[in-house]
Amino acid sequence: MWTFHAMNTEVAVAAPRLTEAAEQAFAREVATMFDVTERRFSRFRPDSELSALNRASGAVAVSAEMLEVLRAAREHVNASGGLFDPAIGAALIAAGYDRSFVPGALDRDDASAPPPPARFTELVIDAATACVQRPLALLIDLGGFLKGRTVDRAAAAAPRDAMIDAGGDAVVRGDGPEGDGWLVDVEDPADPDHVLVTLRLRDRAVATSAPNRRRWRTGSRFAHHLIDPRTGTPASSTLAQVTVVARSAERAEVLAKVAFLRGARDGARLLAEDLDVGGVLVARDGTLQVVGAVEVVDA
Amino acid sequence: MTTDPATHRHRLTVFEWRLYLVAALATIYALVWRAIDRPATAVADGAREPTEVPASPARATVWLDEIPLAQRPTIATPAGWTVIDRGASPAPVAPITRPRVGRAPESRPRRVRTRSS
Repeated sequence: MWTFHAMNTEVAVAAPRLTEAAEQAFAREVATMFDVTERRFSRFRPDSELSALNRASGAVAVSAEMLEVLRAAREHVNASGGLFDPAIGAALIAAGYDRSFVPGALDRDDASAPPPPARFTELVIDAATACVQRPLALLIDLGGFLKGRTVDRAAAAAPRDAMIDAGGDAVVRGDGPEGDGWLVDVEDPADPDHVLVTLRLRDRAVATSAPNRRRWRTGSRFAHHLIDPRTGTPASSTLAQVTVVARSAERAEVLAKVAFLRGARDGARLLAEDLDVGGVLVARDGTLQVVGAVEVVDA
Repeated sequence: MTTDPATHRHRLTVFEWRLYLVAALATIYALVWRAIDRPATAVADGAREPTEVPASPARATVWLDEIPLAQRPTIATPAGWTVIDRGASPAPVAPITRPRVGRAPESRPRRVRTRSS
């Protein structure tokens, strides 16, 4: 197994059926994918294409890659009724998430008012001319959505048995190192050293949304990165954590965010709607709920 | 039989022909050398008037905004590129540093640990 650092998290790559040299070469290939993607789409890099788009005051021509990501995001926005919305960049900055996250670095004594509401549907995407125009108040943040897509791209290039784990957004392919599936430990949001439940997966992706790690102090309260697009502020949910298992990391990532915002009851209902989807929901009172297509091996 | 010396025409020998040829070539060489050497000699003598020397070679590039609007060409940029004012400095480009791939510790199990990140 090989690791590298990208998108402000540790990425682990394993391909147990390959030779050591081939596994390392594959890990390097994945690292390059992450690096190239981050250079184009990071909102924290002033030289990224996304930063240029967020600075533009008129219509701008975008790359084919950017166009594809924006169109995919729009589909999720529409499917989620706007609960998934990458137009939360200004809200994240107002909440204090104005630079790459480091524990403690975002702490502040004052809290800013939320910005005027912005909706991703206000973004004008002209596929014919590959031009995009945004309202000036609309700033795009592709965050975890992009990480999920990158994991999916890496998995598409992976050998039959492989794992790509980008800080908890992961895809597992094949039967795993022991031939009986890949094991996935679901972390306890109240105690990162404790595993709540272990799942066994084959050819699946997994992603988690929780406010327990990317959080910072604003005055006497704590803010986090899960913005509710309806309010433009860090979400208040009856859930402490949602882990979703789906066919792709992109879909798992979006569903985890939406389920978190919908809360324990509606979130579980959302995950149960799709037979290909499963999940583990942890309520704020610690109640554990396992939903849909997941195999629990240890609880 | 007798021979009249007055009417006798002297016939050139091969040696004499060679002498004439060498003399002709030397004359041509001298004339050509003189023609070529004349300007250089003049400069060396400092006789020529000083002339204005361009301060820089002809410009191979021109800023787009120096061209009158009516004469500006249409610039077709690749996707993702834009034409900016020359006064605006492009954002600094960070040096390329590929992520360093390292071997995971042996103690780390080959399994996923979910967390929000």
